[in-house]
Amino acid sequence: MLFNSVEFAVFLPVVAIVYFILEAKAKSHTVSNIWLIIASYFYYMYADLRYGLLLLAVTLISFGSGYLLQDVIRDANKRKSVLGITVILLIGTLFFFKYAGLLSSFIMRDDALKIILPVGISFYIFQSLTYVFEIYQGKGKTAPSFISYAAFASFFPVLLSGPIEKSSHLLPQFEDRHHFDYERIRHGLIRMAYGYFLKLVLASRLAIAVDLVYENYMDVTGYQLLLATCLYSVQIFCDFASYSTIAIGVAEILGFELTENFTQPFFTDSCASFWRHWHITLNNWFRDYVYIPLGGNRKGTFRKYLNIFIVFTLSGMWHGADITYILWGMLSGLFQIMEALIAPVRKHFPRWLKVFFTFMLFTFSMLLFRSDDMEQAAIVISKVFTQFEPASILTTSPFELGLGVFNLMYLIAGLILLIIYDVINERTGDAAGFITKRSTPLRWCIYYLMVVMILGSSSIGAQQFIYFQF
Amino acid sequence: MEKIRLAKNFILLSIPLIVLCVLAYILPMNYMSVEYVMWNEEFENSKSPYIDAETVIIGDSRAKSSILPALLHEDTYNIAIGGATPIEMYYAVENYIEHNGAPKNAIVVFAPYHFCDIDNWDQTLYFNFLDAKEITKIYLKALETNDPVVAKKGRIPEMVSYRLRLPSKYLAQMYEAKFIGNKTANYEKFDSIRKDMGYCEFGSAPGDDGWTHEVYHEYFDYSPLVVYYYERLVGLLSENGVNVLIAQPPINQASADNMHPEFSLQYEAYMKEIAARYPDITVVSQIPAYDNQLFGDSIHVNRKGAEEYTRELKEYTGSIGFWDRKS
Repeated sequence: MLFNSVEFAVFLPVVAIVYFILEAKAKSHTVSNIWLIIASYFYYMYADLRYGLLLLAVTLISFGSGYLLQDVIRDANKRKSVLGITVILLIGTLFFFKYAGLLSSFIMRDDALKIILPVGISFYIFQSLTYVFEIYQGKGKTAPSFISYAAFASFFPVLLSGPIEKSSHLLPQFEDRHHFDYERIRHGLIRMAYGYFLKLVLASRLAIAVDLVYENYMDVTGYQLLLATCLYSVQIFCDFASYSTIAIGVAEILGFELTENFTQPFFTDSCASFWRHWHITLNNWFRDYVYIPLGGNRKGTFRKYLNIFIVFTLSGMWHGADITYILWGMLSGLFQIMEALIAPVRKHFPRWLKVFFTFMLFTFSMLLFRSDDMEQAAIVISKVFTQFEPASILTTSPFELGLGVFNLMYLIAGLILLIIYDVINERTGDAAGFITKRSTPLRWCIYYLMVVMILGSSSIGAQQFIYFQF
Repeated sequence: MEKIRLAKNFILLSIPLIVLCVLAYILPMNYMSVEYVMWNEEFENSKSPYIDAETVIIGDSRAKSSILPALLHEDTYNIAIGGATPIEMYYAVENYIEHNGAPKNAIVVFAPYHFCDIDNWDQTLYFNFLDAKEITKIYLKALETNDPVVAKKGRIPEMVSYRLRLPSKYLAQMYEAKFIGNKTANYEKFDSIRKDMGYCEFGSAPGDDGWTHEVYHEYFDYSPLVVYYYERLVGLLSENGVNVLIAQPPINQASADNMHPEFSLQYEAYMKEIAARYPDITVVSQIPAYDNQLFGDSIHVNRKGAEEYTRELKEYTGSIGFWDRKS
């Protein structure tokens, strides 16, 4: 079920109303947690009934493992073995769904296995692993009940595309009572509206332009490809940040606080900083459970660089069974290492130049991310460097991007509003809260502007969120 | 108190949505494409006693574009719809009979491929040709027959979206037409269809040697859902004592030369089966092939082709005494 679907427009109010009634009437919040589990499994199994079994299996494995690590096994070696088996089971499941098809294609060629990747599997497996890791590290405790844990592991706002929540942050919230709170719900709704704005007004329109250029990559100039890739950087931000923002808004309506996943990444002035503002929860996951256990920056400069490289290569692998993703991850790691190496020179650059370089380096890595395969990536990269044709800057009309005058104007207006929203967010830390504090007429003007812009974009195409494929 | 405040604000914020839905509902002739006009004309025909013709032509776009009622027989009206399958036509005829009474004669003409492919179901939903009750009945039958188009996953929310005229379904077309930009052209088309007694030209080229849909079927891979409604349609006409002729629309020579013999044979066998089941109905099972020059596109005859087909049909019906039969 997509956040931008008619089904969800019915699903969410029903879930929320019943949830608040149960929270107000039921003696124990176990009842409302059971309701959340039912809602979450319905949400997940709406696409495919079999998905529910997988989610249940992941939940049982991680809960069982947490129980053994906290309450049953004391011996350090045995604890390590339990952790190892759990990681093998969960990461193995993920690896199977992501890589078995690819590996079998090498061996069996035409008879390769056709395995459908269950949507959201990368996200909820990583979230479940945080529970096991935190218990193993002594940073977290086992869930008070299986019901609480199952509600955490299947929590529908984050199920399909994150944010990947740590159990120590989200799990205790299933023990709290969440009542109807007008201010909180209003704040959550504004967040949701902003998420829809990102997706429908911006990402869907940018997709038209980007797809047009990439579908005709053999016939366009290097400049046009670079321009399309710059737009793709913005598109993927709007697409993915929209999902996270809607998820945060939905959870807030229900009374849950989720971790921010994007905090104005395009305002950052270094690659290292960029990754602290982009897909924050995934990068934190890799930092806490891969980078630091590998030694982090504590074992010398070389090991630090190597660890960065390993982490980003793994991040590329997490994204998909395609060499383009792996190379994208490696490149992202390499850019950070190179940036650290030239730090003495770089510090003299003005901030705007550093911001620009950061964006362009990210965009360059996105050439790989957007390309369908290595052949396309190679052609696109070579065209950018050898067939740039600067003259095409003057001859390429923005109206050739497949949008038409109306949609192009709509897109530009949307991008201006995005920048304004992000500047407010950067300065206040809470643009949604900023809006709620404005005078009633101004506030309602903003509300209507958002509603009209979203409605006006609703026919652009109910495209899936890009990160669903991961 | 806070709950009422939230509900009140929610309703206030929904005003733009409601306005767009209402506009989409009340002004379809102002923004819809010209294709809609034909459906709307037929919708009005079937839901009002406007026509009350002695003879009606029933079928899809090939029927609509192949038969000129004025040339065929007096008091004849072509109520066929371009893009319709027997599914939509069953309900159109049911409504027609309810509002106009049963016609004396009916000529049923469907392209053979329309027994296999439901290729315009989204358009049927988009034009809201069928009411909620009819759509539900079709959907339930589609579930029973495992139809991959009508009962595809996600159909229910889609059907609801079309019924509610949600902007996600209609706004693109409203933008394209600048909300009221198609009004004049659509009403002109509407009047022209009425003037031609329901006839409508689809392709106007002076010839076409492209292949029609049937060429791409290796055998008569019919849809159980379509066949179910086709047989119900024939049954409905028969029950109401209508004098029925089932005819085949022409295909161009290029298509006839390339059609799989298996498809033609199996289709003809099916038509003969219908003839055997309803002895009172005249069934022409052979698909006629016309010169490519008589086609306005690869699928439909042009006006010249329509005149030729109508002339042949008139001769044939006269020769078998079709018009003199008592219903």
